[in-house]
Formats: sequence, C-alpha cells, structure tokens
Amino acid sequence: MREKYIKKVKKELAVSRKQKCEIIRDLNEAFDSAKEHGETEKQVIDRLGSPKDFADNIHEQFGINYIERQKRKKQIQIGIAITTMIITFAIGILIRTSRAPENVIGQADSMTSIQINGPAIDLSVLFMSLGIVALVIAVALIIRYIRRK
Amino acid sequence: MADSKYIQQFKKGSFEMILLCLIAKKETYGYEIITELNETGGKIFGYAKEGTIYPMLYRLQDAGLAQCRIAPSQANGGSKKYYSLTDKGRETLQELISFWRSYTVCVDSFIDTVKDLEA
Repeated sequence: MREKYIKKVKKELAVSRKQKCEIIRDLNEAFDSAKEHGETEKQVIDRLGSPKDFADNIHEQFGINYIERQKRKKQIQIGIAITTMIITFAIGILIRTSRAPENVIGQADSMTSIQINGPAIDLSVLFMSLGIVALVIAVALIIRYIRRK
Repeated sequence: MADSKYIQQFKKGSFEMILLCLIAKKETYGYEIITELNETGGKIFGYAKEGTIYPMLYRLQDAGLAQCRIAPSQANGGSKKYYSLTDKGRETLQELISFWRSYTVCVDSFIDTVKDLEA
C-alpha cells in the first residue's frame, strides 16, 4: 500500500530529479515516523490525500511558475531531439544520394571494373543511425510529456 | 470563511515564521513538526500536510535559515532528518518576531477604531 502510494507520487511529481529524491526520502520517513507513533499506513495516506493531491500540494508550494517552467523545458527537449533527427537524417540522405553508384567512375555512364576504396565507415549509415537514435529519444520524450499531462 | 483569499494570505505570511519557531525550540524532525503544528494551530490554520510543509522546510534550508542532518532512527530502522536553526535563522527569527509584535499592535489599533463591528 505504502510502496504503491510512493510509486504513484514519484510518477506525479514534476520536479527535478534531485528534488524528487529528497521528497521521496522524506515521504518514506513520514511513513516510518507515523508507524512509530502508532499511525497505520492507511491513516497516513488518508491524511496525505491522493498521490496527485500530494504532488499538487508540493507543486503549489514551489509556485505555479515552476510547473510552467518544467513544461517549457520538456518542450524544448522535444524540439532539440526532433531538430537533431531531421538534420542527421538529411545529412545521411545527402551523403547517400550524392554518391555515384558503385562501379561507376567519373561521369561515365557505363560500368567499369575499377574498384573504389571508400572510407572504412559509411558516413551515411552513421548519420542515419544517429537520426534513428534522435527519433527514439524524441518519441520517448513526447510519450513522457503526454503522460504527464 | 476560513478559506477566503484574505485569510489564506494571512496564513501564507506567517507559516514560515511559525516553522522557524518550532525548529528554534529544539532540534526536530518532519513528523514532529507537523504534529506540533497541528496540535497547537490546526484549529485555526487548518491541518497542515507533509506536501505543504516539506517545500517550506526546503526553502528555509535554501535560504540558509535552517540546516539538517540525517541520522539513523533506532525506533523504526529508517533514518530521520533533524532540522535546526542556523545563526542566520536565529537572527532572522528575532527580526521577524520583533516586527510581528509591532505589526499586531499596529493592526490592532486600526481594528480598535471599528470595535462595534467585532462579533
């Protein structure tokens, strides 16, 4: 009951990681102390209110601006991830398309049997994979953002 | 009535000073602070909750008015965060108290001019 409550509070809290750690530590202490003074877990939870109420209490004390700021920060993170994704994909595609097809030399349109030894790492693959990483991060951030709401 | 905007503002303005008083009395921890606060002031202030008091305690710490140490608790096997005032906290509380004294005298003198309104 207590673990479930604390887990839910953790999810509701829109504060920095450091503050969250401190609040959860203190919340654990509150349960411990209450038990020491003969209060049951249910009594404590009744007093604290729902996990959302508890988190809202905290947010209210930190100030409304604080919540807005946190929201804004998340939006900026999503923006950065999406921009990175677009740029890296674009570079990757550019490298790929500007490259001559294999076994073609110069502007000649017929095949030759000359082998071209390019760089060991295919740069377009590198950029494409960076793009995919950025995409995954962007999606994760968006999911987190929507769930917070 | 007890939740009107004006009364909320009174409470907001005095809560931190009250916390400083509780911590000044003796080194104390969260649960004890909230219990004492509610026993003495619950009827007037409404019952305070952890979610309200914790951020205030963090703020007092950030402002350098209170400090805390974490010590293991024999009674329950966990740990307890003990709050005490810093020198700056003690000084600030002294200033706040002396202001509060003159403040209430001043406010009372206004109230006294409309005594017939008093219930």
